[in-house]
Amino acid sequence: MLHVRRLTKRYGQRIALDGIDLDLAPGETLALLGPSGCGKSTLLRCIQRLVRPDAGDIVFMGQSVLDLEGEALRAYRRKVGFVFQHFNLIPHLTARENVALGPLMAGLSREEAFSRARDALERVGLVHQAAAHPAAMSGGERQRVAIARTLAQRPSLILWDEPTSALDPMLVDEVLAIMAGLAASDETAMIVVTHEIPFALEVADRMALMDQGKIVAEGEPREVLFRSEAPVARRLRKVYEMRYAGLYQQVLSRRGRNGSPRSRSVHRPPERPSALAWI
Amino acid sequence: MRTLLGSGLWRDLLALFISAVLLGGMLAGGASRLVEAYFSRAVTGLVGAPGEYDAIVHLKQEAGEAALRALDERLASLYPGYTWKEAPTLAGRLNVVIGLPEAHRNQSGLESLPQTLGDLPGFDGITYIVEPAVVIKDVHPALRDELAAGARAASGVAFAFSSGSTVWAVLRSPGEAAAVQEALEALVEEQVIAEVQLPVAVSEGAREALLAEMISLLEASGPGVRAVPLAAGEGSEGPQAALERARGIIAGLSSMDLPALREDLLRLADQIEAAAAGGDAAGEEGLAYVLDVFRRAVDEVEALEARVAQVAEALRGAAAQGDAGDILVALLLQQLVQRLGGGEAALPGPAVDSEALRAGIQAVEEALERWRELDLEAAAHSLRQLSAAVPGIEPGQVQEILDALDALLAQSQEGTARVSLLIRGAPDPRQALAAVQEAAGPSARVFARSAGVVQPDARTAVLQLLAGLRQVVTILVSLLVLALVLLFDVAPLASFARRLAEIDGESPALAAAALSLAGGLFGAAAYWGAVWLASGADPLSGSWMVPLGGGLCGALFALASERCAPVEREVVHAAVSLGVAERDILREVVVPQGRPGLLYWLNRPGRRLGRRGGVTAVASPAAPV
Repeated sequence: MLHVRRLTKRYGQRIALDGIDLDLAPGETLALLGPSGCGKSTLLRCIQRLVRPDAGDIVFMGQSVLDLEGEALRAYRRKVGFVFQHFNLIPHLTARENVALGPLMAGLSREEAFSRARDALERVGLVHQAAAHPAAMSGGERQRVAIARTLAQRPSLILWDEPTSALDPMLVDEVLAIMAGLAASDETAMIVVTHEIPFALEVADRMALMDQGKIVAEGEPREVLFRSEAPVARRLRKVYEMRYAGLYQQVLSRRGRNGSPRSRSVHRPPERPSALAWI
Repeated sequence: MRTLLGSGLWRDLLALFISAVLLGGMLAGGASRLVEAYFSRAVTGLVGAPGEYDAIVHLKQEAGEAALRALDERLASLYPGYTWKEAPTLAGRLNVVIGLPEAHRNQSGLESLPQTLGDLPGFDGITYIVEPAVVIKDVHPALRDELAAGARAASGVAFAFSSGSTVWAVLRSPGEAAAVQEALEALVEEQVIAEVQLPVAVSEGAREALLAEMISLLEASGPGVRAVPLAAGEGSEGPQAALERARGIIAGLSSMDLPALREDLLRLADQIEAAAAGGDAAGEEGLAYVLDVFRRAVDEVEALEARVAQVAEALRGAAAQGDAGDILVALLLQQLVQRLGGGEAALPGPAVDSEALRAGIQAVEEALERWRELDLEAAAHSLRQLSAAVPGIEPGQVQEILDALDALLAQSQEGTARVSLLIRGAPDPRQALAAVQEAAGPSARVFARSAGVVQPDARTAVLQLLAGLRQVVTILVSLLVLALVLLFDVAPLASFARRLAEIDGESPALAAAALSLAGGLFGAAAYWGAVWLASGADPLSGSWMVPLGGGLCGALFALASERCAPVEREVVHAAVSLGVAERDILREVVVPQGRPGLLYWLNRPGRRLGRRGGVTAVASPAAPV
């Protein structure tokens, strides 16, 4: 579905992306982790054409994205949704109007656009806040409105740029739940930049680790996190052990997705040593 | 930028431009006309309608109401039917605007005003405001009468008069102003005054020779050129004239016996003080006693008159009836009356005018009353002050001063370093001055002076000033409107354009340059259009500052857009990521979030979202969660 080849981006002397190669299958969920400033957000913005890369190519559904202009570019952007870290809602529009903005400007009728908006808000559990302005909502609610705004576009691919980083910890779960639901539905491919390691382990089909503008590890989430020798993988393991040691056992024992060729046996004992051995 | 311009945004820019020009033009035009109307009314309120008044009489403020009354009485007596109005007091002067009746509104009437009113208490000068008129100011004294005559002869001039160094040509109608001004300017330009400053003073003979040479050279320079000398002190307030006047005043002092005057004043003061101190009670009582006796005597005389009249009547009656005894008594009585009357008195009448006597007594009594009311002490004090003020110049001292002045005057008459020449008919004044310079020599300095300066009347001059004020108001109000449009509309547009340029990967420096250029062009065109619309004239004629100023403002606001009207990067990215077209982003996201400028109101009807909400309080996307 999406193919990124030798993508490069520089900001002055600093190299943000250094020859990135990435593939994403339809309906696949890719978790992208790495330290701050490693280029994760830049990669997503390049894919969405919010930032123009200096070299490389991005091919989406067989078409190079970097040459698109005008209506063709706008059509591509409608297919690739983006959920921002800081929600980026339009302040003077209500929740419903924020969600309906995309479809309405795409040419749908007012009734159709607002119908989509209602459906999307229902999906994120915020129909009752349709007439509220962003200023009257909590952070979690605003992010859910932002998700609904993206869903209303019915994209083929959703790019998530640290969607829970700006949220109160108590509100993170409600957003993660929606993301997990979307991932489980297999309707939409997703690239999720996150620091929520358990979420990545639980929801993502694949995980990629980035460091200093490069992808240093990629593959099955547990394999990447627990077996990779990359320095960033080691640091992430330590973080994981310190924060989520109890959860590890739960992850190991949790059931995978039913009927999925990628599902995991929840009762299969791990083949690797205990996580505690890595400390 | 490319995507912005290609997205149909030009329609919004065009609408913004037309709206800015219309708004700026209407506001500036309205404001300037209001200001002009206000000041025009103020001028009319001050000096009346055109032609209503002829002069402003200035009176010293300390002269107060008495001066105004005196002026009123004088005008009423000399110019029946005059009009007047009190104008505001200014700089310690009362100002009264007066209009002369038609019979006196002529050369002699206007020229004689200073002399007619000059002796009024507090009089401090006259300013003429005759209308419609053309004025020649700074007229050389030697040419005043000639220019006045020339003004009278000009077509369209009703009459002309002069006052000081100004000649007034009063017109038959306001429509004659342009033609008369042109004629008087031609009259003035025909004459040039050349003043030559010589390096050293020369004697009278040398001066005459120099003038003759200058005149000869000038008249040889052209067929119609004529030159006449002007006297050294003619019309000028040189030091010699001042010395001569001073000598006359000081000489008058020598004829006064000032010491004797001081003594007389002191003596009179003593007498008055004595009268005040003593009250002269004895004198007053004596006078009252005499008056009382005299009054009684007048009563006695009246009684006697009545008796005499009765006797006379009786005598006439007796004589008419013919009774002898009565006739004898009548004769005896007649004899008595004759003896009393001192001569032949066939029918004695009243011997004294008792009525006149009574009137005289009454007058004396009234004078006595006024005498009692006099503040004698104050009168004596004033006399002593006057005595002290009398200058203590001895006759010998006055003569010394006169001798010194005579010596100075003799020196000044020994030679002059300045000569003046009036040149007429010179086709090229510079050539004429060159001829004068040649005659005077290289070390002399030659100055040219015009015979006068032709100007319209005071009201027209003020109206010309008001026209300038109106233009200033137009420019300022247009600039204010332009600044608001630039701040509320152009700056956000420029910031939005920068956001799009970032997304497109364009060079920030190039984007800034392009935006400055666009902003400058917009500002120049909008400002020029607004000023043109407001002033109804082509502002390009001599006003290149208008488009230049507008262009600079536009470029500045475009460059400083990130500081004065930044558009949030996040909301633009959000809208772009949704695939919304740039023009729709501007209309639905950028404009409604910003200040309510022209674009806000122009786009409001076409906006599809946020109508009820409008511009609401902006919540930061990073608000506390």
